[in-house]
Amino acid sequence: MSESRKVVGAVALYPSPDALVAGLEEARKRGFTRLDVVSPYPLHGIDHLLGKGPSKLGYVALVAGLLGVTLSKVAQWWMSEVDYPLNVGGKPLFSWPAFVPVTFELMVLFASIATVISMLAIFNRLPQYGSSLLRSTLMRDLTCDKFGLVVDARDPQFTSGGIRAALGGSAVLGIDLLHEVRPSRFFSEQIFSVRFLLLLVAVSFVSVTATHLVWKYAGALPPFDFMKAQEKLNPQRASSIFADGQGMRPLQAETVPRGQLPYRFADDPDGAAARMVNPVPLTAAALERGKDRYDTNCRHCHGLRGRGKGSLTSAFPKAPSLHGIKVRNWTDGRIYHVLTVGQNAMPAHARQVERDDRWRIIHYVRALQRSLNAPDTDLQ
Amino acid sequence: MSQTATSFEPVPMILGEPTPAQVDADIAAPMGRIPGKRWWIAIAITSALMSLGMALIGYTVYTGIGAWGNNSPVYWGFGIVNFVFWIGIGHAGTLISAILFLFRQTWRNAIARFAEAMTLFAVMTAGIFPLIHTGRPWLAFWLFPIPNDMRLWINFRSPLAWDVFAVSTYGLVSFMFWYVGLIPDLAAMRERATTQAHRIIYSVLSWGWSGLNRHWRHYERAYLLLAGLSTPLVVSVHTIVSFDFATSIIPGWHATIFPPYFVVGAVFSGFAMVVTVLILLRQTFHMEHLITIKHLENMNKVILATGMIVGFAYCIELFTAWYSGEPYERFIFWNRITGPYWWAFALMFGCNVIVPQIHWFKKMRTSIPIMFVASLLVNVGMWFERFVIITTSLHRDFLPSNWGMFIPTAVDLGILLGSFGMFFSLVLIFVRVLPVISMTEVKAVMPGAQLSHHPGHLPARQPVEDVDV
Amino acid sequence: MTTPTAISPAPVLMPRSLRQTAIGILVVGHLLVAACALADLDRFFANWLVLFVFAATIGIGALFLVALEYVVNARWSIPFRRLSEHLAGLIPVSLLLAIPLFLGMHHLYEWTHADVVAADPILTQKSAYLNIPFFAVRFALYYLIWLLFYRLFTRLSQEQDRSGDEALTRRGIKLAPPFIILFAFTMSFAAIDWMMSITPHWFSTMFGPSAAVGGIVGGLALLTLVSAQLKIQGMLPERIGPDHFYNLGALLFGLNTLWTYMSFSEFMLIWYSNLPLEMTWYLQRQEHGWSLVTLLLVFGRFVIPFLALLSRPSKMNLNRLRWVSILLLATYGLHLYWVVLPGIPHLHDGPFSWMDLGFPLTAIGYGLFAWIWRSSRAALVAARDPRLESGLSFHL
Repeated sequence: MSESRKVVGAVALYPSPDALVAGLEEARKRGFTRLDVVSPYPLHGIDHLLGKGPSKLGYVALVAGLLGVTLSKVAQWWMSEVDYPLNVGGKPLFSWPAFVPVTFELMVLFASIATVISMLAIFNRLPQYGSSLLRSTLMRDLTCDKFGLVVDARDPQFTSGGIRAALGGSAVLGIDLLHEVRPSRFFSEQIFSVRFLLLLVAVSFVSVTATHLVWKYAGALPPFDFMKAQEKLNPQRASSIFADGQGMRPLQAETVPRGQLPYRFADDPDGAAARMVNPVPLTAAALERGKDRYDTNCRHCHGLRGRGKGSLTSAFPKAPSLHGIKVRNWTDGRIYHVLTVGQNAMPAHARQVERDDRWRIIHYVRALQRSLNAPDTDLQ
Repeated sequence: MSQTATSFEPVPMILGEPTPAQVDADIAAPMGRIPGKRWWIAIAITSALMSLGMALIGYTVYTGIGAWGNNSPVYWGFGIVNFVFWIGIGHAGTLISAILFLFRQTWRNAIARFAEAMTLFAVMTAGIFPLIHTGRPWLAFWLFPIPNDMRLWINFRSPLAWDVFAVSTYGLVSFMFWYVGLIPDLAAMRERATTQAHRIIYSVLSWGWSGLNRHWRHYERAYLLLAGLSTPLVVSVHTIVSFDFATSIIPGWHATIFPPYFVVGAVFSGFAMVVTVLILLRQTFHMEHLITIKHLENMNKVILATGMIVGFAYCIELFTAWYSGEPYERFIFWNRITGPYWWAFALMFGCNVIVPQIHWFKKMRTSIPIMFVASLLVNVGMWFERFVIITTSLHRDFLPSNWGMFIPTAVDLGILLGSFGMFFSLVLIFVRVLPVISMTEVKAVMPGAQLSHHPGHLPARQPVEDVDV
Repeated sequence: MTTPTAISPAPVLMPRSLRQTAIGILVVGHLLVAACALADLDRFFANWLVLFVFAATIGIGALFLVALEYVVNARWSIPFRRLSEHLAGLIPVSLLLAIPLFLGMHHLYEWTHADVVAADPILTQKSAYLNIPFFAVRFALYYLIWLLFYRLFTRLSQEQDRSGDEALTRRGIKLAPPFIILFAFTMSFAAIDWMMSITPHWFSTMFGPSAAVGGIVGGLALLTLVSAQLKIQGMLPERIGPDHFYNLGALLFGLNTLWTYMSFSEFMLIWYSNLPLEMTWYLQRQEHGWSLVTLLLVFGRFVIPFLALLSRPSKMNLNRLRWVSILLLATYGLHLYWVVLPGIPHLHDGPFSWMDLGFPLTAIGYGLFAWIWRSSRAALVAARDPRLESGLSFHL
């Protein structure tokens, strides 16, 4: 026991809280000021005897909680209204009643984490594995059923030789001197030391990278890839669902694809002329639509007013005027036939122009024709 | 001593007047020795169930949710029922730990540690269900608002998103509360350690705790703050779980009373589970003098009170459904009572409303066999309550052409059994490695533990200076 | 040992000035109320309903606190229990206030108009419950139960002042749980009958329980106000100290937060699912200037009291407790006003008119009247309660 290690303090053991208080009072009377009490559970009222007020931890919780509220409100607002606004059930983009639950949870989360971490690391400066008090032989009793008075060697009243006499009394069960602990090579004392934080960063980096790589590559293995490799019909691919392995299926006999009605007069312009009648009623809306479709699909060749002065001149043969006597005498059905199957250099426009829109274009063309060849009655 | 003179004296919460050292020894005893046969048999059963559950979960992940009974129109089946059931059980732990602490009910000290651990295990078990019911659990990180290459954020307006935050916060805060409470006990275990390995482990886990008053000051304040934060947290968690249902428009789900009704129901089932497990624990480890009949009786009173509130909520729901005059509302409740799931409703009503009534009688609520059976029945009833709410409201809602039945598959049942296996396995392991009763808290309230005269009335004095040893 | 010598079981008479103030307030209040009745009968009945519910629910809430103490075996509240019993005197007083209500049923409830009910299939369905005879029977039942327990609790407490008999406390402990159960049902259904049926198409399962908790908060706020005021005036025993008031403040804080939580979740769920049937109730309270009242309620009933009672020392500060209680009582009245008035067709046009002024005054007047009446019957503290010593020596 003849160590040359420095004495950093002393601890005296008492059998009961009242004995401890008596010892504490005695020590204070003798002028000791660097004192503390050790107990296996908190003693109510001892703070008062040590002159200590309430802990300020509550402010940490308050500030952290407010931070959580603010952050969550701002984040939810930004994510729901600014960055990715989505109409969900008609609710406003900043749905404050709907944001309350998450806000509350984040407030509690921030406040709790801040409380625990600051209590341990900041206020109590734990962990302190290098504490000499932990190495005292009296520690076993102090965590079980006895109470201790600790005096720091830096107290002006402290002397290594005299401390036993100073603290000794009838109630004292034992006194232990606390010796300085050699700092460990690997373990630094504080949680906020540079080495420990760097270690945390390194571990985080490694685990994040590993997770990312695993997710990326394991995602290609079954069963994780089942969503991608589904047994469904993909266009222009072979398929195992059908016996012949073909993905694209031919039309069933006796069926017509949706949206397509067969044109009966494909080779029969006279039949079209004679038998087809414009089914679309002549209304202002129909004319509007007809004009719109004409301007899109016909104007480039036949011109703005149907006089054949279109914008496609050089490479294309000139389109005829629609005001000629031939066209004016055609029935609507005959014009419809030309629109649907084409004529000479004019291609079939069935695919570009919907069936009813073709009839509306015909209404518009009739209006154009009338505009340049109006009967006298129009002018009266 | 006449009956009247002592009739209002507080009942001692520790029997036999042990010394603090004996209390320490009694609590540390299960950790020291090799477990007996009963423990091995128990953990064999629970691990077997847990393995069954894990295997079936693996099967579900491989095959898809089609392996479960979920189908049109009951799209939420056992997954959600089990989730709500387990989360509910966790709430009792926080209530005992935090709320009874705030009300200064010191009888909670002997059971708080175990109850808090039970909360953690229940939350862990519950957390599995939202994870696996999505079908692609490896994409679970999509639930969090993390910047991603799809430029998406989560839908903060959805109660399911709120659940993510609520359950995560609850798990984390419960863990911290439990762990902070453990630190002084771990310090005591460190000092009692017989092998170097144990000493190192407990040293690291106890963060070098020595019991200095300057540490206790902040520790106590942190504990109070955590208790104060956990109390609204536990209410908010089950409220948010209830929002999963109440924010919908389905009759039977959309009821404004759901939030407090669910919270009270959670406390009800949680306390029943605590009673179940504590009865087994105290007997196995001979801790009847620390977890006394009085503790169990108090818990049974809470079970009775919360059970009555749940029954009251049933009555209000039934009345309001009739009062509303809405045919859909009325039908849902009529269908619950008389439809194809009438037997589930009967079980629920019988176990939740009728069974707890026995606790009006002192003889019943202080009898171990009776309260054990009652607590089991309460949990059965509460599981069926969630089943009734979810299944009956979904299986016959607005359009009759949409009606159907929900039939659970063997996989569903296996996973449910597996969840019980997981929960009880965790409990059994906990019992062997950590002190199930808080040595610190129990010693702190024993007679003679504190100063005989509170010095609060003495004049303030000079603060002592910092000790750094 | 069971009779602390310092506290006398004799009642303390309130000073004359208080009685005169009460009379003065009641006279002025009634004059203004009568003016309202002459100007707008609908408004009169609506405000009178608010006044009646305010008085009744606070009285029953105070009685609930008495029962709660017996059930949970609380010690710290024993010195306050007698004050609660006095405040429960508002129950018989409110029965008096109910008379004009029955005269005004046609102005308040549209389901009392047979022609309206006949034309509406939903109201016809509800008419099995919403009809005047059944309404009256239920009303009588609620009051029968409340008055019975009021009498039982106050009687046993006053008898204990004379005998100090422990068996009386045991009787209280036995009576408390049945009362609490009946309280839950009667208060919820009373709220449904008196307030929810104003908008007979609307329904909410939370309405009844929320109103019940609101009544408890009201009763507790009044108790806090009265005890803080009496303590400041030195009329309470010395030993009732900051620690007792801390608990009172903490309970008030907690219960008010609970009530806020219930109200908010009711609102949030209805807002979220946006069903036309349910949403109309809240929309009525959003239009025509009523949103101002909603905002006042949010701040006055939750934000300010929450912040004011958050810290530990604030709950022990008697002045703080006093003004927060006054604020909570005022906002409770405002809350009931906000619940009742917008539901009545032409009153929906806008909050606040000079005609409303008489009613809060009358409420205060009747409150003072109930207090003076009851406090003259028994001491301010249950002097010979066998557990009083344990209650007085309570420390945090």
